[in-house]
Amino acid sequence: MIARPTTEQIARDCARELLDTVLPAVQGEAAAVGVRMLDNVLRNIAVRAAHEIAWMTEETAAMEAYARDLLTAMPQAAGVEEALAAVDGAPRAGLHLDDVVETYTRAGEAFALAMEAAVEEGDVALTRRARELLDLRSGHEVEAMADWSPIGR
Amino acid sequence: MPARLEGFLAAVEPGRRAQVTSYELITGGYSRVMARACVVWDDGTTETLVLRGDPPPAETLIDSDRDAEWRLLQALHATGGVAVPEPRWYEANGTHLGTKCIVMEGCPGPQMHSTLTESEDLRPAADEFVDTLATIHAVDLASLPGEMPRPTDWASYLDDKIRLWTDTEAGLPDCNPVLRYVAAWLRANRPPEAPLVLVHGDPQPSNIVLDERRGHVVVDWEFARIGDPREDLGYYLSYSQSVGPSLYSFDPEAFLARYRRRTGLSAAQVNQATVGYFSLIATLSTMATIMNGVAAMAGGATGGTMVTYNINAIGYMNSKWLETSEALTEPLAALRRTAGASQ
Repeated sequence: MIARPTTEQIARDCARELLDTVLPAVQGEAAAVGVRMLDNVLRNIAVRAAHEIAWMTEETAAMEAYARDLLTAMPQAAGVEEALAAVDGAPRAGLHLDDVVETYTRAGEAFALAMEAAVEEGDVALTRRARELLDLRSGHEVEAMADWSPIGR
Repeated sequence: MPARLEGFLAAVEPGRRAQVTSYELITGGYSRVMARACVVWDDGTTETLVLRGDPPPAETLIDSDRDAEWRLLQALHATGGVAVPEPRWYEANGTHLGTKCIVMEGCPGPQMHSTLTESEDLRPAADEFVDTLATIHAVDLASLPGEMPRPTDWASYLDDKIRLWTDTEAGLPDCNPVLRYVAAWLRANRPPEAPLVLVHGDPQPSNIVLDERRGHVVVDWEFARIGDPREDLGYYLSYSQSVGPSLYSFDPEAFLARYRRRTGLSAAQVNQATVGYFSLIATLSTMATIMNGVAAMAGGATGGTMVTYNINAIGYMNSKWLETSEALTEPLAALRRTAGASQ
């Protein structure tokens, strides 16, 4: 495995070349907009390559803990116990991306069901904690956007 | 493509012949393929046409109905309340142009957005923009195509809008707890009712052409529907936060006061809190199509730079939705308290 340059570095270098070398040679506004979008996509890839497994692992632990705490407080919460059983059966042994994504998705479902129960029951503390987890997730998504703004509009 | 357009024009105008002298794609829209063509007819007259068709299915990001858009464009043009590009011809089956395609006049004049700069006094433009929104919202619903869905009542319409959040989330390849949270929040924080009207669905200065003769010519009607007028206000609030300068945010109270005067709606119905609420409702209507496109890509059914690039829009909107719901919880509660106290 050739670890350095990292995937993040490689993707950023491709983005730089796209803007510095390819874009000036492109003719037509539609094609230029496409190149600028590809630059953004490459920068998205760079951020995700650098952080997404760590972020999903961190969020999975927090979401799973939330769902288990809610189930303790509200054993009747619809679907949460089953969703947590699905998390238990997730492929958690390794760090291959597909496995991490699958576990993250199952934990997200358990969390969402638990959060809905907290909101429906009017549990202020658990709703507030759910909001904090949503903000954590959203913060990672924003970082992965790599300064995105609508191009060509 | 110019030859195909000439073939199409020969088919729809059998007594005349046209030569396409220029043809260029129009950038700026994210959903439809659009082009501007200049043609010379055999009697020497010239005209500019705009073509609006669907992208290839494998590259479709946002799905909408060209048949419905064509019918609406015809109805609005015939009624005359809102200025729209003159609809000329419709390729309903793609025989000549390769896609369902609306062919309309190319309106002379700049897009309103291109005339706005941060430094100038935005008030005149804001006033005109408000007036255009009010004009759209005043369109007689009886003049609209019979095929256009008519909600039975406001409450069930709003229920359907909120259900779109959970339905959209259910169709995603992975869980999006933000959608589930906002749906729960919307159910718990309903605003006062307002009359259902024609809403544009994507009202923004980029979709207004400044025509010297007709004033504001409103284009891109693919998301139009009968709905709550605050959806357009909320949509623009959200849109203009990412694509400025905003004609709303520099003086929201003046913007909304003018809108209330033009429409007769009350301050309880139209205020910053209710517009904020509908910014959530309105943006999902558009974002749902983007999310469906991303889901289709994850399933291998579609692809392309546009779809991948717009994954960012989901992250952006997730953050905005959380921020907005947090900020509006207390103002909407205050509105309900006021309404309760006055009853």
